[in-house]
Amino acid sequence: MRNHHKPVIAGAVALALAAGALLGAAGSASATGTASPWVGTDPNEAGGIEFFNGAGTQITGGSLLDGPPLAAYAVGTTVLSATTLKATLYGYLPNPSTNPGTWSNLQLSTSSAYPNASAPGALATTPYPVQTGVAGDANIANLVEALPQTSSAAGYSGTYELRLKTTGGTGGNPTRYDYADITISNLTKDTNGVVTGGSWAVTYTPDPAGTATSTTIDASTPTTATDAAAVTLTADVSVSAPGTVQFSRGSTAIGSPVTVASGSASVTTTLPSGIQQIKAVFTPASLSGFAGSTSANYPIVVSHVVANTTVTPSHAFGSYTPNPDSSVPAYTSTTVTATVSPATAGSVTFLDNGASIGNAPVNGSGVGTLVYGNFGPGPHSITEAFTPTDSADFQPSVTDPADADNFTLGAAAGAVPDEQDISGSVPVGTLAISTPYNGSSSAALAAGSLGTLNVNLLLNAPGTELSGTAAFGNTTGVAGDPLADTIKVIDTRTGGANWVASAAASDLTNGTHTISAENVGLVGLTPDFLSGNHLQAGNVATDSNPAAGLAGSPAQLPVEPAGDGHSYGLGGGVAHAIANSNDPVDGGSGTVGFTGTLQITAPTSTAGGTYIGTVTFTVV
Amino acid sequence: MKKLGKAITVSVAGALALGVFAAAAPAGADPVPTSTDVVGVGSDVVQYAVDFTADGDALGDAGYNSGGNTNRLDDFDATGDANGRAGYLNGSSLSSPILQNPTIILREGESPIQRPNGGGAGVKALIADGPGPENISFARSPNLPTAAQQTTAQTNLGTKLHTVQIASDTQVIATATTTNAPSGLSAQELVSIYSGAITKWNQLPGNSGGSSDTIIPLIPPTTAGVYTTFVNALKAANGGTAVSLDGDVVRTVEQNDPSAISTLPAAQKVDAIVPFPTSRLSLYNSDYFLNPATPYGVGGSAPAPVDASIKLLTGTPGDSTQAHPTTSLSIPLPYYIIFRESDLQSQVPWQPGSTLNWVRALFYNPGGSVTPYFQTAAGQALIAASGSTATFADFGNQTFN
Repeated sequence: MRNHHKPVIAGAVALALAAGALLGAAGSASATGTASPWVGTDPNEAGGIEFFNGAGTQITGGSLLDGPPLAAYAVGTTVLSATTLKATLYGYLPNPSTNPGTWSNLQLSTSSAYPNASAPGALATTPYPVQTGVAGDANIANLVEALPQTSSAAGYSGTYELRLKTTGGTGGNPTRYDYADITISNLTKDTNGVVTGGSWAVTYTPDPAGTATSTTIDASTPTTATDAAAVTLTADVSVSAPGTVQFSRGSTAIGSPVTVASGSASVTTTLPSGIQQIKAVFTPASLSGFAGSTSANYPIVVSHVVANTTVTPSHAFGSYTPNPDSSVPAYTSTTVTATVSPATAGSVTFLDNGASIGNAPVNGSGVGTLVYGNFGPGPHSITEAFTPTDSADFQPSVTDPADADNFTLGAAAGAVPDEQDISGSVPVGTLAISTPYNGSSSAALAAGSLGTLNVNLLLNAPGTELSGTAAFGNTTGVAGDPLADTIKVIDTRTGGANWVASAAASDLTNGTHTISAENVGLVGLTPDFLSGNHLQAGNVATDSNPAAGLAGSPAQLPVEPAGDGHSYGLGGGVAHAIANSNDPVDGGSGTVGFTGTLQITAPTSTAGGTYIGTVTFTVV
Repeated sequence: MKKLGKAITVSVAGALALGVFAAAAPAGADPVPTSTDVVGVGSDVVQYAVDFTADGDALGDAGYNSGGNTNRLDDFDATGDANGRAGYLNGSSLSSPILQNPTIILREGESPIQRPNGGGAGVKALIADGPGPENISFARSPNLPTAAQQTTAQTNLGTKLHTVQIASDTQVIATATTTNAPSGLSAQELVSIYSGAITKWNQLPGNSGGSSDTIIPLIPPTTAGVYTTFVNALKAANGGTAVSLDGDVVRTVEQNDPSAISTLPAAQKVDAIVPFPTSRLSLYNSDYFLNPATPYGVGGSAPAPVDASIKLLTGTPGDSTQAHPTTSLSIPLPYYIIFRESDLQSQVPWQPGSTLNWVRALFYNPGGSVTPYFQTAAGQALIAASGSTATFADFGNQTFN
């Protein structure tokens, strides 16, 4: 239906003038939030929508069950038409398979006339379209119920688009619309599909276009600072636009947004050490007709200051009233306190007349105490020496002589304590591992020593590899050392720690060719305990490390080439655990020997000759 | 909703033959619905409430279709004229008008069919729309379906008809603004007038001093729902006996069209009466209708609103001192939307992605949490813009006889 009303025409003229003044200003559009995937694909997109409650305070979300209406006012940020009379709010169901112009929608509001002189504050006079909510409108819950968002596509899941359109007047209804994309969270429904809870929030809407502004960090802002002193950051906003400035260093906000007054905004803060890039972001007041702007980074070099500390002594005599101190008998149990400022943890040494009387930790509140009962009769002067745990940020300190805690005690109330120093020491002990096989000293081997362990490699029955083994520790040792032919661990340490023995082989070489250390294995380790020794069955365990190509080794590797990055057998340049003690109470103290078998394999292509390598045993 | 631009209006009491005939082609500005649009036909008096709710009103209120949903609400007016006037063919005379029988295309790709003119015609067309795909989704009418129509609907459509009321209105007697009629006419007086028992104004009870002119009683066509409501009111005032209309004095005119009186010669205009809905006069008085004689764009401004040049009789009738009527005729005029019961029960969502079928989206959503568009504040504002009073009631499968 088309119709025309004379009063409508008159109203349109007035609106056209207001809009012309606004549109004539330069605009600088930015946006709030991350743009939805379809933004920019519909030529009818115009500006954004801002929502306000009944008091005129901007809101950016709420409960799905709020209202109806969902907001008291929905205000577009562009003049969609100079002649339209009424504004209507719609909810659209984004669909990744169709053009935004064809999405299904639910009309959320009546068409309300604007401007609305009854609206609070700037809403009453804004030239932008204002939709005024009324009872009987729909809310977001209704939108979700009528048009459930089932798409899981990125950017679409849980998302709807609210659009503000204008109608009426003589110029025809514009196809352009203002819009805000919202996301639904924590949605709950009953079995009938009726929404019972959840919330909505604006996730994207274009910021208002308006008069351009610029924001700069004022030159009064220092370029150097310390992390121990506050500095004042000041930003200047051009053209005296109303709004707020949010300061930040990098991605970290500094305080809350600061209201711009007389074109500037300041915040006082303490900055961490380093080069801090300060930035100020100006957000114009809603409906002000100005655009936002962001300053360039402003570097401030912030140096680190190590804080001085003071340590102040004090004392208390328990039940005695310390006035005068001389009334307190000597040798009364006394609590001596150290108070560190600024408070920080560490340790403190207490001194009486310059001589140490004890140490104590200082807690995070900067307090350490010592209970001392050996103050003799006569004068005492307590001083303290503080050592901080955080030496990077705090200096050590000693009590200023002026702050010494001085007191004088009376005669002893009873027998004078006889103080004697006592001391005891526990040897640290050693942990050692040894084997009888040492080729470098074979010429000087003691009787019974096995020297180099020789392994003869022969072609195996399938003819797939060369292999050989050599058992060790199958003798009875030597006189006085029944473990002489074993891998022997001797632990004389104190403290009840356990140990782990390990072995690592080197590649074997004949000077020209190499056999990989992964082809060296150590298996069948069996503890050989000494009678009466702490280490016995049950508190020692062994590991098996077969050579590549033999049983228990990786099936795919008949033998291993050198340097392939694996660590089979005893190879790979890493230590392989071969045995450990596991007594949770007494640890591995004692002596134990291990018998076992050394394995070597080699590819059939290995050139003949003698290949020499080493196996290094360690115990920790 | 734009209508046929070449419709010709005539008054019925003159003798001037019409030399211009209207083109018989369908109204090009009518909607051509797709197979998934919702299509309404029928009552003239109800049409503007539905038209506005579909496409918005002239006050700037957006209608259902303004949001751009894929499937639209298409509402065919009763006549091929946006001012609600009838069109007549060449050879018509004021005393013998020949209706144009304008046509509409119910669905894209189909041939034109005769436009249902009035609530009665609309309900008949609806119950004849089957079996098979729906061409007509609902009918507008001020009357409930009859029991016979329910039976036919069950046979033809495989389902009963369901009725909801979306608004209320009243039907009263209209005259020219300058008239010989008294300030009020009771139903009993109207029985006498329309039956021919009283033919002159001064024959009316308590009006012996009135004009001696002959009363010209006008009546809507029998296809119109407002015809039925009027004759039923006369029947009720006649003790339940249907009134036999005097064909020599009662003349048929397009329903709810003030030009039926305003275009009469001055000498006849003062003596004409016609049953008329209060909503339509309100719509005229809101300046919705512009002067159809003024071509668009001439003079660079919009045409002036057209004056209905009628008034409604609401005063005390001359027989008010008698036992029976004490007030001028005022007949309740409900706005009914009549549709297939099966459409209410359908599980097929109307708009892509929606949970609602078209009945639940637009008119009636029993047990649902989403308010149907016609019951929202937006919908009710649009209904009110038609001059009627928005209201809602469910009449289910009720009938009247």
